[in-house]
Amino acid sequence: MNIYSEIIDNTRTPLEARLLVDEVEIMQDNLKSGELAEAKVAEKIRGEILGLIKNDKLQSGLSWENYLKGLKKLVLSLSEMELILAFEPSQAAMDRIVETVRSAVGRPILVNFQLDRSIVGGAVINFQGFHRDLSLGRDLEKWFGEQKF
Amino acid sequence: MENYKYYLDKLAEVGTVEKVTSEVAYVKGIPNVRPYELVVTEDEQIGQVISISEDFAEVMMITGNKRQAGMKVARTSQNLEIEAGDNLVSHIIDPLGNVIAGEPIPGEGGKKMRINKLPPDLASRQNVEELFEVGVPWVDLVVPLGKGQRELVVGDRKLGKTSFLLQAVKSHALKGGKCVIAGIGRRQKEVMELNQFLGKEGIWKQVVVVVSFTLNRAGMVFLTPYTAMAVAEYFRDKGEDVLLVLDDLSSHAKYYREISLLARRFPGRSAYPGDIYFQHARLLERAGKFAKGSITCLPVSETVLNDISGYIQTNLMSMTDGHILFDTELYNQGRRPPINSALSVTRVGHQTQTPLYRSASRELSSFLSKHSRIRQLVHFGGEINMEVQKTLDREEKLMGLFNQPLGATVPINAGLIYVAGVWANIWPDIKGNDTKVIVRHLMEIFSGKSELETGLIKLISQSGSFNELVQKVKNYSALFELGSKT
Repeated sequence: MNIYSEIIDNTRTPLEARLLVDEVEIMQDNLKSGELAEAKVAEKIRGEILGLIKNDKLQSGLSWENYLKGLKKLVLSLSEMELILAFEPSQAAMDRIVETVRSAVGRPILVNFQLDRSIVGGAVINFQGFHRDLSLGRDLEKWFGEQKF
Repeated sequence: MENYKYYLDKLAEVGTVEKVTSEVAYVKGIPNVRPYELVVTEDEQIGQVISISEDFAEVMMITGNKRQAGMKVARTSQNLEIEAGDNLVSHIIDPLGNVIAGEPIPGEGGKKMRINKLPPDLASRQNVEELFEVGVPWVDLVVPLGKGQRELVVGDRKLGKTSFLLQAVKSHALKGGKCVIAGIGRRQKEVMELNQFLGKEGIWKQVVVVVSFTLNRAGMVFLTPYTAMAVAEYFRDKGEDVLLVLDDLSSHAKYYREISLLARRFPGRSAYPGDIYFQHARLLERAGKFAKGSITCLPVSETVLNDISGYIQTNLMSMTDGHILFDTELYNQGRRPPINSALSVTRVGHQTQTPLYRSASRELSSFLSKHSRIRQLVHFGGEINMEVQKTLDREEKLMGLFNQPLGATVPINAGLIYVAGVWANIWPDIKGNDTKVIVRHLMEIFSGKSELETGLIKLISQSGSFNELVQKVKNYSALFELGSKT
């Protein structure tokens, strides 16, 4: 398994990415003589993230400074995909969607979930400047526009 | 143009405004966008792409006042176009082709003309061979213009440049030629006065006005001369000789400077961007004489304290076929229009003249140069002998022709006959305002309502040189009688 992969797997949305970057910066500010002042950071960052990072860093063999620097750079470089849905997805649905998208794209990306009930169903996708309207609303409009009932 | 949703569905590309200044938006996304392409925001504002980098497309916003980061943007895959047609005449339009004042444009079926396009190549151009009559003797006789010439009109503010241009428009329109006037960043009062002038002279049917106001977006003002040129090209392609007035390109340069500085372009001389020359050259090179029709372009440039060595002024001088300089000192002496013929240049105008006009022009230029030296001598208290007095009298009579009332146009033949009459000294006793009376009579003769006109035109056509004409005029009794009518 690559370094950072487990942490990135847990970072699905731009909000989570921003939170992670903030947490990494807190850790960077609390490095003393190359070691992390755990007691100080434990109250400021999420427990599960701290645990993941500690394990991952241990396995990587990197110093804290290099490890955190690399992690921050990686998170900031992640592409973002905008996914507009007609409903609010559950956590499980979000996980499934992110996993499907990442598998389709072939690399970790962040998925920015947005809500727009006017699309009725389906999804609208914006990714790297490309736009795809797979919404039910559009299809219905198009179909009823073409057909004469 | 369609709406944002249409282009989003059609081209399936979307961008996001990441950063925005008052005139320029930085858009991320829209991967296949091209320079000069139009984009539309989700609230239907239009912008034009001015440059593309790895991360952003820089978009010059043309319409709208609301700017917001995070706004979505769609490509249109279109360049800016205007629907130009015969139905545009008598209208005041904005650079996007929307009517600002007056009735809506009737009918459809105009031709789509691109606003930004490359100038025609060398092979499609022809020599400037036909005279363009402006109706201002200072220009027609001394600094003549040709159809297809680009002549810069330069001078300080409030010296009558716009009045001169309107005289040229009137003269050309009354002959049936089409005129396109571009008002670049004008005040609404000025446009209203222009509207009244065109209505009063009854030439609206030959004129299209493309205007942007001081309150418009800098992007909208920037596009004004290009739109005007596109409209002129439509009429040129129909085989017409078009007069295009660009008032004024100094303002245009300032608006472009504003856009470039906001887009963080590196400032060059006087903080103008490095490509300001290119922006004006690619516009002015679209004018000229072609197989079908011509575009005679009169761009205007404002100076400060008569400084024609300014950056924009020298740029424009180098890309035009001459310039007409409006002099503050001459204005203060009461000369109207205050054209400094010694410092004015026409590079291709003389080749359009017949031998008679060319010799008259040479004679006048040489006289005016001699006269200016004599004036200086007299000013410093030099002795006035018969020869000097004769020169001063002749100059006084010439000013009766050259000092023109506002809005009046003098046919070139009337001017020539008058000058020949002055040289022949057939009105020895006329002075002051009497000279204007004679000019007025000659204008009436050449308005097509007098029998004398045929005889005088014959006189002109039979003369090979100015001296020959002067000799013939000495024996033309009808002209002597004009002196008695004062």
